[in-house]
Amino acid sequence: MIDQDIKKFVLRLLLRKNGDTATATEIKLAIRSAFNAALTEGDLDNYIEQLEANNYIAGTSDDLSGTLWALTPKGKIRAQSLSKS
Amino acid sequence: MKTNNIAAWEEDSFWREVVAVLTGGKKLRGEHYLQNLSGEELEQLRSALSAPGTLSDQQKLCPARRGGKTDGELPPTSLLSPISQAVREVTTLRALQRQDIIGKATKDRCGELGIDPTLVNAVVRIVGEEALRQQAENQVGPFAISAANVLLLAEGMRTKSKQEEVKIDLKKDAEKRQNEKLKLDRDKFEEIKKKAAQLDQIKALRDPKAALNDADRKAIVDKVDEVLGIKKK
Repeated sequence: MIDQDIKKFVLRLLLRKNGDTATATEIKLAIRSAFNAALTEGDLDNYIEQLEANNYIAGTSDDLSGTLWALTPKGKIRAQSLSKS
Repeated sequence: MKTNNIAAWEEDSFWREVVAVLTGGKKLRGEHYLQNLSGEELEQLRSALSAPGTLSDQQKLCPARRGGKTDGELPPTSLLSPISQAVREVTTLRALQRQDIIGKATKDRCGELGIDPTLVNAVVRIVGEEALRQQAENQVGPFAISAANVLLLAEGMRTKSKQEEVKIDLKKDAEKRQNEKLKLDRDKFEEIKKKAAQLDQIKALRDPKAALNDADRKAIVDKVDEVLGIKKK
């Protein structure tokens, strides 16, 4: 359950970026801030990899900042549906 | 408490976001604890959930449930736990959004000052990550160190390229001086050659065995006349 919550959180996080990107470090630190759970770096990497595998997010490489992540169109639609109340 | 069929949480953007996290974007059940809380009670709940201590400690500070069979009872911790988690997520997302706004303003300001945008982006990201790290670890530290390192590295790279430019200029100057020296040497050589030719000429004139021409003879006679005081008439 927490896995799904974390992945939804990442989608919401990237949606708030309004098309801007986030580094993997930024995403992982935000997860650590928002979830009071014992998560390893491997766990956090897995969430990002799963979201990428599901085509919700896509990464581009940057020399100074490493990989920068953004929502794909599919990810944006999913994130928007999660943010409605 | 309901007012005109609109729940208090619906009028507050923070709680709207909390409910969206709780329900995953779906509708909140009519009998949900949050549905019947007033604006003041929602604030009380927010304060209670951010208070130190365990969820059981926080539970005692929460507003009581309203309506239904459980009216007046404290919400169970099983209900508070997902609300607390959702509040934490929304608080983090809002903090990130604030950070993004500050980052964007910093980038704009640095852009106006003509600072390299790639470098500014990297520094803003690093400062942002450092702020997040400190938030995650609940501590405050020297969060500009990594950013300062990037600046120093970039400055170092700039200095290195500047040094290379200076080296090239020095090399060019040395080549120029070398060419000037070669030209001077050539001129000197020409001068020596010219002098040697003149010496040869003088030598030839001074040769006692050399035959005298009319001009020479006349010059000698004139000199002798001058020495002897013989004046020509």
